[in-house]
Order: sequence, then C-alpha cells, then structure tokens
Amino acid sequence: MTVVRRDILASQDARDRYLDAVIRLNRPDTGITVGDLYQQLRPQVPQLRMAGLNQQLSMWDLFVIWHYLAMQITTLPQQPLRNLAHGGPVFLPWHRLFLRRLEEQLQRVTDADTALPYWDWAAHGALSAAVQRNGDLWGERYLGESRGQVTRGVLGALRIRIEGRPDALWSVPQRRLRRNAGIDVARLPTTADVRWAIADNRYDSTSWNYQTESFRNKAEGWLRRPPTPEDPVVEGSEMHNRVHVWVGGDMGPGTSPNDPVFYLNHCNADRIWEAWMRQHGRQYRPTSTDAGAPVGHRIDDLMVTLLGTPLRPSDTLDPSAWYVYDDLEVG
Amino acid sequence: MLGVNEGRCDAQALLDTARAGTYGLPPASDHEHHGEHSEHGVTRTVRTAVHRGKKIRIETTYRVTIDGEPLDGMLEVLDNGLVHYHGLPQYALPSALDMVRRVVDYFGSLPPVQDEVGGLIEGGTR
Repeated sequence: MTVVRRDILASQDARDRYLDAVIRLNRPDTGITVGDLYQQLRPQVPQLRMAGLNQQLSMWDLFVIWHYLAMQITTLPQQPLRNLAHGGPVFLPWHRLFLRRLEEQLQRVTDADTALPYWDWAAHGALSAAVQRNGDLWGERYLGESRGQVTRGVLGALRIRIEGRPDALWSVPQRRLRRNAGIDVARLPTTADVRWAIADNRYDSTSWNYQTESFRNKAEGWLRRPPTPEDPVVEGSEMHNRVHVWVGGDMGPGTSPNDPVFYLNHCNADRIWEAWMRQHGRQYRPTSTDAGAPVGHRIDDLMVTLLGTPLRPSDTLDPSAWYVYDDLEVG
Repeated sequence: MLGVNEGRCDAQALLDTARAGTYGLPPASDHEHHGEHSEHGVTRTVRTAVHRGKKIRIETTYRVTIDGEPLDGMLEVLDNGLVHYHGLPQYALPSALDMVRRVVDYFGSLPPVQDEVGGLIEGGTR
C-alpha cells in the first residue's frame, strides 16, 4: 500500500510511530552476531574490516552496517569520496532504497500504514543558531538533546553498538547516542539553498562526482551556493552534507544511521528529489551508455544491498507504489 | 505486532536474499578493492588536468601520525584543494591539518575495545 510521509514536527502520530518503531528495531534480537555477519560478508567484500565485541545485532545495527559497507567500495583508487552510495549520481536512488527498506521494517513492528517522517530542515534555516539547536525537535517530546549524550525522551533508550572508527567498523559496548549540534557549522541549510538546487534541470552530468554542476550534487551538498546580499553567510558543507555536519556526534562518521535523525534528513533530501522530479521529470543520468560513467552509478546498475533484493536506480525513480509526500512545496 | 522469532527469521531471510543477489556488488574487476585504507598513515592522491594542451599531474602524499601513531583511513585532496577524509564522509575542509583536528575531535578519546571478531588481525593489516 502507498503510505504518506509527513513532517515529523507537524504530525504527532508520525512522530510517535517512528520513535516507537526505532526503539523496537534497536533491540539486539536478530540472532545474528557480528562474527557471523563478518564471515558472511568477507568473501565478497574483502576491504571490509570488522572488529570488537562478538555481540548479537539488532535490525537497526544491520542498517548501520549496510550504510558503512556501501561506503567501502570506491569507484576509483585513492578516491573514497565517490563510493557506491555517495559522491555521485547513485546518492539519491541508493538512499531511497535504503530508506524504503527501513520503512518496511517500521511497518513490520508497528502497522502497515506507518510511514517514515521527514525533517524540513530548510524551514528552520533562517532562524538564529541558538534557536536551531534548541528547538522543539531537540526536546523530550521529539529526538532528545542536540548536544551531548541523548538521555531525554524516547531516544534515551536507544543504544549504539556499532561505531565507524578510522581503522575498522567496531562493535562496541552498548552506549547512548551522542550529538554535537551547531559546532562544526553554525546553521542549517536554507530555503534559498533548496531553491538553488531545484532550479538546476540536470539530474547529473560529467564528471559524475563532487565537482559536477547538477541537482544531485547540489542536493548532496558538495557545491557551494554563491552568497547573495540577502543571505551572505555560506559556510562549509552544504544541504544534506551540512545537516550531518551540523548535528555532529554519531551523525559524523560512516555509521551515521545510528542516529534516527539520519533518516529524517535523508527523507527530506528524498522529498526534495521528488519535488525536483515533479518540475523536471523522472529523468536520471548516467544511462548505461554514457561514456565514462562510473560503474555502480548507472541507471541499470545494481545497488549495494545488505537486506533484501538489490534494486537498480531505474527501479526507484517512481516511488508512488511505496509512498507519497504530504507536501512538495520545499523551497 | 512483531514476535521475537518473527524478527529473527526476518533478518536472516533478508540477509540471505541479499547474499543470493551478491549484495548488488559490481564484479570485483570493476571496482576498487584496496584503496580505502592508508598504509601506515600514508595516503596519496593524484590529480590530473589538461590545460592549453598540456597534461598536468599533481601527486600529493600525506604521512599523518597522531601522538606517533599512523592515522588509518584515506585522506583525499579534491580538485578545489579541499581535503576529504573517508571516516568523516560529509566533511571537506581547507587543509589536512583542519581535517586531522576533526579526526581527533571525533575519534581521539574513544575507549579501546577488546577485539573478539578479529578483523584487524585476519585482514593482515596490523
């Protein structure tokens, strides 16, 4: 059935279902241990290193590992920024697949009409830095603290077991979620940033990476919008990237799906993509015949999948059988 | 509503399905297997361009230690001069020093964990 994705700050029902399901999925009850999973994955992904405690994993942890796994496979030697989930055209379809699989898990532990909510961060982009990090989203009724350990609200019960560290993916003693909001960049993206991205009618183009002038690259956040007299402050990573950097803590490393705000951020990025497609059509580049297009990013390449059947970008361009958004007025 | 056994069966079934589809991975010959970790804290980036018919090649090598210990994970110099670190995938900062400071901020005080899984030993990297 098609479900309706809503703004978490506008729907208490969407909020309550999401947070309840997150805690259920965070229970280490899959019967799968870190050692078992590592032995399964190593033959096909020899560059993956897993270390630490051989503990039982939760479904939530498996999604964390899936994200980290996709990052380990690069498209060129010595250039890790473009991997099989980031830094290139597949960024949006890969995360659409990833979010949809998580949404199916939310539905499994709650109800079939449960939908992933989004966080319309650009709607808060014009507020002061202090208001952004102290707003309702970071209170007891929503996601808990924006700085330090998360102890308040439903997510005070969330436990982290998987950490991306410089040398490996580590299984660690259970601990609380951590955030460090507004430290490395002070402000969230703005509606002007979103309008700037959506105005670009190219989904992606050569060189298919962090330098490309395209909607995908602007939405991912590798390009910097030229400052305007009305909004002269442009700093650091942009759009989706900026939200990761702004939240900080567990949203920084490749294990960022540890923080439930990861899904709210990407659901909003997906919503912006959907708004872009409404304006520019359900187009995708590169095709399978575009010269120089990176393997793993073309429209009919399979996407890295840890849970369920692997899909192609072409399978994700119309999500209407899975979900719709309540509001596509994004800018 | 979910029962415990249902959750267990679901996770393994999903993993098995993905494995049957080879996790959606491209053929090994089509993707890079060994570029994601530094070798004893040394990473190398090669940037190339053609300008006025001349082929430009710039090779940048970083040898990074923190308290004498080599930094693992790739540092990548982007064409615009910013520095990216694979372990903090959404960051691109003006210098390697800025980036390594962030690495220390994020990872510098994490407590050591006993390695029961053995990935660092089996991988032959330590």
